Amino acid sequence: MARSGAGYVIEELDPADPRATDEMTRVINAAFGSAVEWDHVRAMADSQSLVAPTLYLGARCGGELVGLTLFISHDLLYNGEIVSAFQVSTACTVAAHQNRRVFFSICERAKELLKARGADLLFTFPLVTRPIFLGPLGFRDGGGYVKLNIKAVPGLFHRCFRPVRDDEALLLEDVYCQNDRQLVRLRQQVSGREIVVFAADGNVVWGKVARRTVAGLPVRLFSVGGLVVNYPHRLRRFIADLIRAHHVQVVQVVAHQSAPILTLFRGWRAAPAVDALAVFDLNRRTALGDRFNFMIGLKDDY
Amino acid sequence: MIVKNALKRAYYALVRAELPPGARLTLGYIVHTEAVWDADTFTRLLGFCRAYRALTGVGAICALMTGVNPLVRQGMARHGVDGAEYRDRVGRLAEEARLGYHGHFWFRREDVGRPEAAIMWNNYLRTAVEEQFAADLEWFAASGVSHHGIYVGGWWFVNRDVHRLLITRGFIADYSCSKSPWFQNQYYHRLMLDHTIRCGEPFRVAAGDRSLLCIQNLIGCHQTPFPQDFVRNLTALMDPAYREMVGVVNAHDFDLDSDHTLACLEYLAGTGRVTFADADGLVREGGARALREVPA
Repeated sequence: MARSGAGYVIEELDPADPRATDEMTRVINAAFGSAVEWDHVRAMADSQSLVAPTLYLGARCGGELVGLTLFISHDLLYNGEIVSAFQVSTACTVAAHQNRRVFFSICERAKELLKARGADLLFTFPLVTRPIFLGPLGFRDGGGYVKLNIKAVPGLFHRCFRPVRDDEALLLEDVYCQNDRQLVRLRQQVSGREIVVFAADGNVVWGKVARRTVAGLPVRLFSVGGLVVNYPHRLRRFIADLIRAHHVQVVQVVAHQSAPILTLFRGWRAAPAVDALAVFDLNRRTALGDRFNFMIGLKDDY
Repeated sequence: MIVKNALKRAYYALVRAELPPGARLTLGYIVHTEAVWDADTFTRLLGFCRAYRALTGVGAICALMTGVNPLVRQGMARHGVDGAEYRDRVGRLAEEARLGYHGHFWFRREDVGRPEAAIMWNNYLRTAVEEQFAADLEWFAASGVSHHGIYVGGWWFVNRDVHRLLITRGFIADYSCSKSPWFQNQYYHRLMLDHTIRCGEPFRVAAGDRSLLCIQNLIGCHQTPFPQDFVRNLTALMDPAYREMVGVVNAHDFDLDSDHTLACLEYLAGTGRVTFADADGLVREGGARALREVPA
């Protein structure tokens, strides 16, 4: 436990303790006006990291839990090693205690705890709270996302792929990669069979099929959560096979602007509606030019 | 397929597929042996190995997934094959072919069947490979089965760490590299580009004062009724300046097309420009021609 300057006690909460989970569920629902059950919260937070569990950190006032933030444990991959990274998620404070630096106090305590436990970094995709992260919390702006809609239309489809030359190789060296093995399981915990995995010829994609309306017409869209490209010269055929297998008209790829897989496609556009990355170094030093092969499936709200 | 074959028949009636002038090939055969827990696959594989020896005068290589590999364990469980029976089949296979090691790795053993957890060069966790590699080698030792220092990567996966593991454990030859886009891995692809390694050119990768001989997997073999396809596909990969090639062709045990493969090999033998080599012959010839040594 730690006492924040404003009299709040910051406390690590045990997700196996029914009293704690009741309290956490109450705070989440009070703050967001929702009606979620604990099972849902646990499903989106229990990442089954090989290194460290998710951290549940709360703020108490007079013994009552009034604020909560989850720090979801991710085993990012960097040159074959795990980078222990925690995603700041589900930050909530009950109305009566908002604007009292509860969230700030929780995050500062999380930094201390996780650094002491050997974690490498924190990351998040803040929208409303972005000024807090980049300001007093000291996170670094990690850059925004870009988007590409690959349409299953003759003439348009092929234009989305950059021809891979015979003298090119795609090796993700010195790149922070999301852990698709971990993410598929994590997302399936929440979304079940909605999350599909498609693999062929050494390439793997996972995501979910969504129904949209475009110009008044119903369209099936495959939202790519993650894409593992081991055979770049087979990518176009692979995506074509994906389209056929899942009867979709569009494959939407949303990736971090530094992702090396962007080089395989053409026609990327900025995705300002996708919250940008923010990073805080704990035991690892990241730098401005670092590359993140992150896709939309890494975001906790995917 | 019928139309395609008819077109090919017509094409090859007009265009003779030949190895380019001066091209000579020292050729071996490697089977990625993954499914001998299936009795039918095992029987077919034994039959192929005998027929291969009868045709070529030399033995094939069967690079084996071990009895502790999680995919093999799954197959064994499904087919009611226990560890002793698996070892017995491996022992019988060793009488017909030279055994080697074929590694398939996942992030965790329980991940088998999950493609997002299959370890390849762009989806990689070093500790998982090291653990499973160690377990596999322990199985070879405990089972009294020799891998003869021969390795070929499952899903063609090899990287610098795997090379160092192989070199440290005294492996002699790796057959995971290829200039064919169908068998390429990005690590070897870049390594061969960086060092201008040509199709069929053996080379060595070194770590410290030891090295590993790398012999290319040329192309797959062979699942069409047209041996000319083999010649055409190989010719397309060849470098005009490098004509005396050493390499292997491959299949999995479970998709081995024995009839077409043997017909193709017989066709190649008839050209007078192909010498078939067993594992020792490949190492001898490959070692003699491996003029380049690159760091792992």
